[in-house]
Amino acid sequence: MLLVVTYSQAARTSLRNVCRTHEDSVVRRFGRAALLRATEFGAFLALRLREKHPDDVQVERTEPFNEFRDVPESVREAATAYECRENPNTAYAKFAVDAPHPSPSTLKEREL
Amino acid sequence: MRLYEYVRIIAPGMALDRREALAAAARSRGVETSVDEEIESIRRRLSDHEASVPTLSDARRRVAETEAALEERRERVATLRGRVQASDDDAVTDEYRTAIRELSEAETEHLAATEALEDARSRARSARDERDRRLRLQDRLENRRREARVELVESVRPAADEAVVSAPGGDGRTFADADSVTAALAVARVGTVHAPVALACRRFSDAAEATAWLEAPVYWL
Repeated sequence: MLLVVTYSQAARTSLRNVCRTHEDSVVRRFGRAALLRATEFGAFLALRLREKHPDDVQVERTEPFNEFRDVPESVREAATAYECRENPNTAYAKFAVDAPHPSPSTLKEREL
Repeated sequence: MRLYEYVRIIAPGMALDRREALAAAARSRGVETSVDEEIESIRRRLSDHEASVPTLSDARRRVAETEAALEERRERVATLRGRVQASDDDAVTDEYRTAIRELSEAETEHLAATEALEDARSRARSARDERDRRLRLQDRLENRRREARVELVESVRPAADEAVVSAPGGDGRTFADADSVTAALAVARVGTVHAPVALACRRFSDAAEATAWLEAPVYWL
C-alpha cells in the first residue's frame, strides 16, 4: 500500500479532500496520514498531493508484515514470553537476562 | 481583523460575522484573555526559520535508472557466459570480459546512487521532524485562539445585548437575533472605534445623535 503523510495544515486539508472524494482508493485514514491502495490510481493521487505540496507530503510504500517469514523464531518467542511475564513491572532488558531471549541491544543491531 | 474593518460602512443588507466582530470589539476595549501569553509564545516559536526538505526525486530517479542498467548488464553477462562455455572463440571471450567490467561499473554506480538516496532520506527525516513540530504548534495556536475568542465574546456579550435593546429602530432582543445593521451598530457602540463609521442606515435623526450613541466619529451619508 502507499502511505501518505502530510506535514502542514494545507497538505493535511488536501489529503482529507482527496480521501473524501476517492474513498474506494483509501484503505485507511489517520489524522494527517492515509494508506492508499497500491494501484496506479493510488499512486496518481499520492503524486498529485506531492506535486501540490512538495515539501509537506511524504510517500512510502508499505509491505505486508508476515512474522513467520520476516522475523526469526527467537524474536517471536521473546515477544510472547514477555507479554506473559508474571511481574508486569519487569522491564524487557531485565527479563531477557538469564533467559533464552535476545537482549534489546542485540535486537536493535539486527536488521529484519 | 480589527473592529473598524467590520463597521466601516453600516448599511442595510450588510454581511457581518457576528462572533468575529464581537471578539474584535472586546479586543478594541483592551480585554485580555487567559491564553494571550501562550498565544504570543507559540507565535514567537513559529516565526523561527522553517527547515526545507531536500528534494529526493532526483536521487530516486537515479536509483531506478542504475537499477535498470544493472539488471540489463547482469542478463548480458549471463547470456555471454553461456556462449563462452559453448565456444572457443576469442572474440566471445573478450566480449564476455567487457560485459563483466561493465557489470561491475553498474554495480558501483547503483551502490553510489543508493547511498546518496539514503543520505538524502535521512536529511529529509530531520527536516520533517521540524515540520512535525511546527504543525503541532500551529494546531495548538488555533485551539488557543478559539479559546481566546470564546473568552473575548463572552466578556462583551452582555454589553452587546444591552446595546441591541437600546439601538434606535432595531428589532432584536439579543445580539444573536438582531438584524445585521443593529448588530453592527451594537459592536461599534460596545467597542472602541477611532476612525469614522460611514452610516447609511437611517437609524438616527442626525450625525450628532449617531455620534453620541455610538461614541464614535461618523460619516453621515
